[in-house]
Amino acid sequence: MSSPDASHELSPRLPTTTRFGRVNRDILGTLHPGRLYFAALALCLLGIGWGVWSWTQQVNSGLAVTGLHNPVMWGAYITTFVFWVGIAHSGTLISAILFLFRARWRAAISRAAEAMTVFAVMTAGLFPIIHLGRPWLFYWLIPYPNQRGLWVNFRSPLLWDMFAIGTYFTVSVLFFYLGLVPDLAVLRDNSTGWKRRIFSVVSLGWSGSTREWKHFNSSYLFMAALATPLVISVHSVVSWDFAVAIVPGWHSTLFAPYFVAGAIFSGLGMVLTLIIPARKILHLEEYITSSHLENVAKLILFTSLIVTYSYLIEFFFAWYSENPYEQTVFMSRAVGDYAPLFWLMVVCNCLAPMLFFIPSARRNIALLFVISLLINVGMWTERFVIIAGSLARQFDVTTWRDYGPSWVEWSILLGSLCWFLFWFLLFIRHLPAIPIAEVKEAMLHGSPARNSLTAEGQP
Amino acid sequence: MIKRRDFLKVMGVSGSAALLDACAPSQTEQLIPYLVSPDNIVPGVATYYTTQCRECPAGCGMLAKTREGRVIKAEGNPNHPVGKGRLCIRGQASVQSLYNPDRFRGPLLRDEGGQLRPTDWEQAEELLTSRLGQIKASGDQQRVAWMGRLLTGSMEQLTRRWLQSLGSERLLFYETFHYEPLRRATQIAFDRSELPSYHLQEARFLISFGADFLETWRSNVELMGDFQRMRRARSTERPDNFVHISQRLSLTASNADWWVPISPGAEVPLALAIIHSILEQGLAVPEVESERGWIESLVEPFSPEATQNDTGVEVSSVQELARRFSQASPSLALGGGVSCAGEQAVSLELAVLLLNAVAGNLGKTLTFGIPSALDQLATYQEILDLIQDMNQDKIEVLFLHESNPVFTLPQSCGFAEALEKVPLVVSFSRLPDETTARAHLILPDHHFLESWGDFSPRAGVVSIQQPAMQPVFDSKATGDVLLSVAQKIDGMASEFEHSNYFDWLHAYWDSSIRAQVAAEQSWEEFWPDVLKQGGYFQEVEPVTVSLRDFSTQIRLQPERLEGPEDGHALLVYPSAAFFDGRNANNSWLQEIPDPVTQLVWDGWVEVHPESGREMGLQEGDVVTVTSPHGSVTLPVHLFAGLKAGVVAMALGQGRSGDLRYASGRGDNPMRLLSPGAEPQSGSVLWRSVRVDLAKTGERHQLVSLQARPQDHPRDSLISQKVQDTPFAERIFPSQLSDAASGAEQDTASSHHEPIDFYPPHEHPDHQWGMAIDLDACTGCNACVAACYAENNIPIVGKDRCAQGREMSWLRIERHLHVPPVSQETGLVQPQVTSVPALCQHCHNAPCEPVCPVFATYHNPEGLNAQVYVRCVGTRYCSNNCPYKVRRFNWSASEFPEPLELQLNPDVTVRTAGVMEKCTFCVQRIQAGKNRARREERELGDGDITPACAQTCPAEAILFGDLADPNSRLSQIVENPRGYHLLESLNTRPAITYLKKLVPEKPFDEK
Repeated sequence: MSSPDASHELSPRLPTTTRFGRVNRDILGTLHPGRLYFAALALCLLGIGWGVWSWTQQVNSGLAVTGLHNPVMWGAYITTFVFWVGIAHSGTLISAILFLFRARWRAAISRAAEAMTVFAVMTAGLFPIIHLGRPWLFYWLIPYPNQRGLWVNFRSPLLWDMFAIGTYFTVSVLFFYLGLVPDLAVLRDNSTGWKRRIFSVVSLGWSGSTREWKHFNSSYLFMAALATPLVISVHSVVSWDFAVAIVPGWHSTLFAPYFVAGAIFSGLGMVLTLIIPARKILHLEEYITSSHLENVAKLILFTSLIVTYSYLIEFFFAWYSENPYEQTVFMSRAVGDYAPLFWLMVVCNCLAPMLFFIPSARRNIALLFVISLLINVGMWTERFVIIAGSLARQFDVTTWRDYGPSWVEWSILLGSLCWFLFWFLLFIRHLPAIPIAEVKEAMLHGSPARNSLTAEGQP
Repeated sequence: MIKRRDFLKVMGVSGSAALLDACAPSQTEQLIPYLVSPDNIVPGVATYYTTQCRECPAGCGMLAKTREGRVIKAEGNPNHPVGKGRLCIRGQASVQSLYNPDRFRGPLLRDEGGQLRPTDWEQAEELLTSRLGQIKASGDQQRVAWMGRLLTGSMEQLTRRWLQSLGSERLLFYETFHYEPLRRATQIAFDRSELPSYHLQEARFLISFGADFLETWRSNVELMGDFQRMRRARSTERPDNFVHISQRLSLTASNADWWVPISPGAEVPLALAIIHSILEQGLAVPEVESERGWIESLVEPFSPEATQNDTGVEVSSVQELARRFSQASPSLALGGGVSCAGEQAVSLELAVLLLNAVAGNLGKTLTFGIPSALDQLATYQEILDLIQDMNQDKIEVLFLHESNPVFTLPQSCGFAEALEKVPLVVSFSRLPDETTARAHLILPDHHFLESWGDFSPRAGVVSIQQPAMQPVFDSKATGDVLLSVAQKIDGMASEFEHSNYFDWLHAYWDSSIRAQVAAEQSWEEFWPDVLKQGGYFQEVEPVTVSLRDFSTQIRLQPERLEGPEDGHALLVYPSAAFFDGRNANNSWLQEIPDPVTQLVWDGWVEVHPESGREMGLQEGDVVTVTSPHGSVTLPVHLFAGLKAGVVAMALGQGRSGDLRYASGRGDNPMRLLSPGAEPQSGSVLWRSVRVDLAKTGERHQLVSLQARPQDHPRDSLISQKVQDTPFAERIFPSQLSDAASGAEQDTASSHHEPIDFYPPHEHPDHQWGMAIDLDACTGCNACVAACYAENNIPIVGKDRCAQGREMSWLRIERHLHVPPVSQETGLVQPQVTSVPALCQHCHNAPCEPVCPVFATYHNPEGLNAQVYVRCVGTRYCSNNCPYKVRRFNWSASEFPEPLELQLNPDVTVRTAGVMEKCTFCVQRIQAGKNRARREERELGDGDITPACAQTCPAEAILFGDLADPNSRLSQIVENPRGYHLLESLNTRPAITYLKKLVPEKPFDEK
């Protein structure tokens, strides 16, 4: 990795090319991880295997192996689906929206966030299929001319979902790839043999000419503009899965903004969860500095306040509407059978992030990591409370019944987490976790972000 | 080389095999038509045979629906006077007993090692012949005894003659639920040893002393129909005309307007106090004027004031009860069941008869002269005598015919032990039971749907029992066994002119019935008509009776209970589903919840929550219940519908042996009863012990299919008043008054016009709909069983029921609240509403738009259709259904062989992973349309009846066409009592519920 005196190489006093060389070396250095990496990879594969085996049990014996029942027909799977879709949000937010707002500090974490987006959508996309009664027929949800002479129902939010997620995945992948092109060229230049051939193809013959940069910048801007509305649309549509239904606790106009804020909140939490260990392990502290993390913490605080407000306003709706069904659901959340989960959610999503009002807390890496984990737990719990908690307390009192996931559901959840981490591990092994080109750009521009790119205390 | 003919034969056989097997869901099979089509079978067209339900002694007429030679459904025979086309839950489930997978597959013989081994009929009969031949040859008398279910007509004649030929007179008809006290009381009071006939439909006020006539008492289907006719005629101002007096809120009691939770033994004082009050108020009818002297002196010590402490009923209430009972002439008082079960059983029946007499009901709602088959039942004393003879080795061969006395007699009477002394015990049971476990030879009888027979539940009604299909197993009709054995015994063959039972039956009907009632008809004219009608029915004129002075015969000393002073009185009641336990191995009956407690697949002891608190008992605590005669171990169910100080157990569970559905559930309360007999009639003392409850420390999960309504103060399906009433008042909205006054112009119209985004659906031809009268619905669950039978609904077992994965398309949602006894009246107004909940076939169905693949949609006839093959199983529809009537196939359904033969070929067996729900019996709609087209006519109102409506004994369900303004349904949905479930959601259901009429005023207010 970096040599003892390497920190000088980032000094602005040195010629740009020297400093850029250092950036190349540091970041590409992450692509040669050690034994720990392979152990983690193996663990992930094991987890995936366990999840797949559990799923075969479910396919063989039917959904009886889950904890689902009448009336809670959706449970851990849909909760996890919404959770991962939510995670997927911050990638686009950081890449696209912050890019448009010229928040240059985003550069350090944007690549990881984008990768996370792609993998999170890949994980989320598994669940609607896993949860089907007859998963082998999932393609019946796709509208294409077919011999069956059947069509899909465009009034169903599940169909909107499929389109929203599909679009989001496509755009995220394109955006991710577009940003990667200059870095792939760096990889090509630093590799040999068959790797070099592959990188030559995927870097699209990038040579770094001004003309290329000009086109690159404008297309990146264009993609950012295209991706921005998706941040809003995807989770709005996902929230309509619930809001369009008549289930008390779901049927609310609040859901779209509430879910979008929650998605960004959870996504930022996941960014921290992934990046804090990664920067440590990959020795990228100089590139992803505590001031980057502090900025993320500020965003977390902001979205947490929106989420908290949404929680409060939901209760207000229930009280103000005088709708007894709605009131019952919220009573069951606040003081009923779902109260432990609800208050866990409040602690994780509302109270813990409040610590970020204190500047020193935002700069405490360990605390940041702990809170980011709490946010992950809290946001999964939030979706669980909304989905299972509402379904368990519907109109007809005599049908109420509580739900808890079975071992099969937990196993598949674990498998899906491993699936996500597996891809992320592959990503940090094979692609630069920090956008080399953007770091260089930031250094060149001497923007405020530059200071954060240099070691603390540098003039 | 295979010849063409051989080839076709092979194909024919394998084709039929394929047909039988075609219901297995995952296999693809070839459909090969009959090579030579049998007569009477048109593939795809159902054939109905008139027959006769023999699940209990009530004897309802039945139609057996067969398809391709197998019975698939039982329905009531509309021509039959008993049941009038309706069946109860047990009758509906009789097809499950026909195809019960635990039935004996053939005759069994116990070997030296004590194991039952399969044998063949020839060998089995050989054994019987040699043993009986010896007895016959020896000339010993009374060495053979027969104990079996109630028989009449040809089979009774055959059995009696057969036994006589063997030198025995011992033909004991044994039924667990006998009516000995009542028969004894009529003997004392009217000198007629017969059960009276009741005419509930003519009564204007009804008091029942413990008679659970909606469940098991006498003829429950018939009585439920009559009860509903009586209830329909009542006034809306004063809709309370049924008072039930008992220790337990049974299904019948929960349908009463007022329930008197009475201490055991306080019934006689209460009955006499009512008579006292009638006489005091001068309301007695003139007919009893001549008897007034002894009646007055009899009831003199039982003034309402004097009995108040015992009965707990306030004086004003007794007076009001007396006034209304005598003024609403004719009224009717019933006595029986769990109240006529103790030492005062006969006395209570006498008091009830007297009550009817002073109110002038004799000859009106209570008549004599129409003897019931139940009059033929052996007395308990005769059975005790038999036990004694068995113990004294006087019985060499004992025949047990379709009865299980080891289980159903009080265990302390020693029947099981006496059985050990009998050298040869022959059982004709179809299913393994406690008695066959001790039998030496088992000769399984046919199920009644497989065999010829006849039964006369009462004078004037003789039903024919036709076999509707070939026997499922290698069983043999008992009549045939008797005749075939008789043929082989020297000196016996000549006494029996027929060699098979069918000829015997023929001859009996020709000589004993046709010759007497239709002598002018030839056999060829008479017989087809009998088969078509289901029997021979005629009106029988009742006789007049006169009351005799029985004041010396009535026992007025209080009832004694054996056992610890601080113990709880034990009440053993018949199970509505299992009767006396004979139906316990019926999977539908296990899975369909108990109508009162809503528990499934279990046995339990009911304890009042107050007593439970005192004893530190929680729901599901396993306790040992100990009486002076035995003990049982059971889980506790806390049930508010009990008199304090009483614990209750149903008879029926606790079956031992190898029964896949019944074994290992609960325990048998007959272990606790005393062997003693009621002093006057000699009947079994069902209510004679006190028991101790001791916690074992174990826990047992009792599974209820519905959350307890008391868990939350909101009962949403009963009425649609939720939005208008304050939270605390939502438990039981007053049901008629606001509807009639127009206050019920509820949510939809009082707030705003319903707003629909999409244009309404069009229904060019029909718009199917339903009306369910909650006032008529008793909650008996017959419709649920009918739905299981019609629609191939699989059972899932207790564990999955506990998980909420039951598959019933139709459930009876029971909202039960038992308020404390009113201090002013001493009465309880049980707040019980049974809501049959099924797919509402909404016009704006919330399930439809959310399905991404159009697996559910609104069809042009107003049905909310569900396309199983199209369903991928997102389950969104079920989430969005506010009524929670959709059922998801969590796993593949199983129908253990031969239960698959019962499957209705018109209805798909659903695979794992798809959603299903009520279809309004779309196959019946189609069949009705086909029939109309074949008959070249328009489809008429009433041509189509779904299975639930078809069987409802209370006629609470009406199906029809809402698009036809003249249909009965269209008229009825305009009723001011009509409302829709969760109307404020604007789902616009096709089912209209009619609210229950409940009394608004306290009982004693005029």
